[in-house]
Amino acid sequence: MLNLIRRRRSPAAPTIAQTTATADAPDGAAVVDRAPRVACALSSCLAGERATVLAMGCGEMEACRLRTLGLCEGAAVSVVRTRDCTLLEVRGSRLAVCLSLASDITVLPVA
Amino acid sequence: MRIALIGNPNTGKSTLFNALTGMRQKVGNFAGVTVERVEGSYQTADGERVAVLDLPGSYSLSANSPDEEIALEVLLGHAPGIPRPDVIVVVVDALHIERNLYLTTQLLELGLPIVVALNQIDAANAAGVEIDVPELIHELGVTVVPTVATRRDGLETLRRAIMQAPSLPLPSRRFTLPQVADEALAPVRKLVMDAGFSANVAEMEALRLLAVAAPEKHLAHIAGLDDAVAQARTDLLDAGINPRGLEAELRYGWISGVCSRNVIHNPTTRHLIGDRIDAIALHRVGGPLVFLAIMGLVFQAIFSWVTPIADGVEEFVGTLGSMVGTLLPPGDLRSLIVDGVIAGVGSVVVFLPQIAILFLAIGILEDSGYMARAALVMDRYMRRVGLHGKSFIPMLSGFACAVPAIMSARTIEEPKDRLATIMVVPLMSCSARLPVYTLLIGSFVPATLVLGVFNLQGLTMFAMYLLGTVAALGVAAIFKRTLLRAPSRPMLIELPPYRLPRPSSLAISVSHRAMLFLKRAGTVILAVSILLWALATYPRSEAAPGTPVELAQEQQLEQSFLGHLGRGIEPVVRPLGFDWKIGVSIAASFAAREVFVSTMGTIYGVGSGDEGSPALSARLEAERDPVTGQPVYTTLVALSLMVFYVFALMCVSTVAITVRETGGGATGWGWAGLQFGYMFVLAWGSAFLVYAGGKALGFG
Repeated sequence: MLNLIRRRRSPAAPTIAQTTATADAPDGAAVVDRAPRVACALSSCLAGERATVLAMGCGEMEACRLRTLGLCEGAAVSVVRTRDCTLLEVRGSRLAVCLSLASDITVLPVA
Repeated sequence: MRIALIGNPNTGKSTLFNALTGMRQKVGNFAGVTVERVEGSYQTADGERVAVLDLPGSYSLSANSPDEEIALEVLLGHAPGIPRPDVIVVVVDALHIERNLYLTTQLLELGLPIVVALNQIDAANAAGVEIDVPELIHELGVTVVPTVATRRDGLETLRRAIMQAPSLPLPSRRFTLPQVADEALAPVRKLVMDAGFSANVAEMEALRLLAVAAPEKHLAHIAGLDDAVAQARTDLLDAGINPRGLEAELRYGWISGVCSRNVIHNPTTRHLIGDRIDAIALHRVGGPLVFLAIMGLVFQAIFSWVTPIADGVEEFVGTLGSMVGTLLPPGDLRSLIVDGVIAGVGSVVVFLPQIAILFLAIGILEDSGYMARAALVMDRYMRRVGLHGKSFIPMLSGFACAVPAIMSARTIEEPKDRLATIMVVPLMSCSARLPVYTLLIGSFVPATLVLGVFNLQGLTMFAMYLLGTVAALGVAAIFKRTLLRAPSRPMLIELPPYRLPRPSSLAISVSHRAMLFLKRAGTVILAVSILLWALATYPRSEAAPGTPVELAQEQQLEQSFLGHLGRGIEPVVRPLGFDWKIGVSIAASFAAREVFVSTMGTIYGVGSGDEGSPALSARLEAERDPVTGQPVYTTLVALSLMVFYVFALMCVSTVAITVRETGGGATGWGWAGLQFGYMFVLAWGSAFLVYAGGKALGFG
């Protein structure tokens, strides 16, 4: 079950994720159980994880920018780094997305 | 024939432009560097001249930035003074073909002949990417020419393809809309067509408008368009389609199919090295440390390594002045050429090596791919004062010269962030302030050791730089919370792959900027130098026979228009502890700050006015107030004067560039006036606080 326990890194709650806080981590961060392949915020994905974009909850202007850069609904993304910002690979390019923006993007992690 | 070159940032578009036209132009690796309108031309084998317009780097025609909006207007023939191009050349980065084809699919719908330059095909192959070009031609319906612009590979084929493009069938949309979307968008298409746009363009615009916040300038005049787009969105939502994401979904859907059929990705280790570098360069602790280390190197290069070259240029200017002086007979003409033109322009040209080194450093950082990482690292800190991470580049450049620094603010997409950055960049201590600091610190700050390690003179110099930087951040925070209040756009930046900078590209970049700097020195600064010379030379005063040269010079200056100006200024600067001579020097330094030192040299008749001149230092220390008999220059006055120079916008070139970069005309002059005004108030107030506060505490 270890692989099902994820540290929640973003203060913003996943919009669609069916997550349940179960305990407090030693550093005070909430620990959540998440079933595999359950939608969550992009900001809560871990480095090395792959996911499919489901929905863009950010402002119109930012969503438009993201979509033209290839980060649109249905796009496959790979999370490369997750500290301070989300660094991801989408359509062969590397994008750095700040955590606040990444928390507005809902994705479905790929098993 | 007129062609327009367009492509995503970092596709090698500018390099291809240089290769096609031979024109020298900035080449960079930082998203959005190509922001100026740059044109060139070449002649075909048949003798036909082809005009080439290099459009700003654009990810799409969605007008997400001013650059993209300009590109869209040009391609639609709506840009004032720029005819619609006959052919579009789309530069597609072969390594990132999937993302790059998004813009291409939009361009296919503009009703113009198109040629695709599949650039950096060598890098793509090296990274294991194989592209079936004949099939791609078939899928896109336009000519595709593989190129390597840096090696000029494929250039002749591309030129031939450009000439043939108008005779080929016009490209068109490569996918079909779902029926419900087609019906929902019909009223929007009709409105756009009724406004005079072609059916092709109306198709493209109708789909594009679903995603953008509001119709742009070229569509804003169409009555009822907003309502029609809103209705189309409602209809699509009712049909279960996300209208905002429809365009991206359809285009990328089609592109994914094309790429899956025609692009093979062989597994390679291309990201491994970059990831290892990023692990340090983007690390929470390591990232800022790497950034500081790199900045330390840049400053070392600007202030130390370049000194021998700067000395050489200074010597050359001095020798040139002496040579011309000996060739011309004594009189006003010689004075104008030697004291006005050569001394005035020369005092600015001596900073050319520093400017060149700064742009070389910026070029290396951009071309290597590090600049985007640095912006990302700095974003966390810049946001605390309401600025964007990209603001740090202009602010850093401001340490060398505010003029190119303000120009580099164009890479900031959000207009209010860009304006706030432009407004505070001149507070960063530029290299022209260095001679002023050097003269005053060398003369009035003792070289004592502090804590047994630090030299007080060095600490004072550091304090001046720190003061300017802190003020710039503080003023930016005030602007962003008042006049330029707007939510900062979240950080979203493409990180280009790390690459070894190409010396030829760097040479073009540096020479382009150096030429811009020299051009300015030869125009604005030349004109102001001549004006200042005239003000200091006329009306002529005849010195009594036997008067020492130094005294005669001082008398001449006192009687001149500039002397009268100084007397007029004196009441304003007297509360700061300055006399009329300092007032004159401050007024004269509006041409360029470093002119302060040479003006002081002229006033005190000690020759060149070199800041290191012991004669000038001694003369300043010996200067007495004729009324009180007290020394004019004390450490307190020197501090007050330095603080004044930290904050004051004493630079006509900066004013001129601010006018241009903030929109020109009345708007531009308004921002430049505000910039000059607030900086003068800040300078005067701070200098007054230092002087009056110091006096009250019993110093000086």
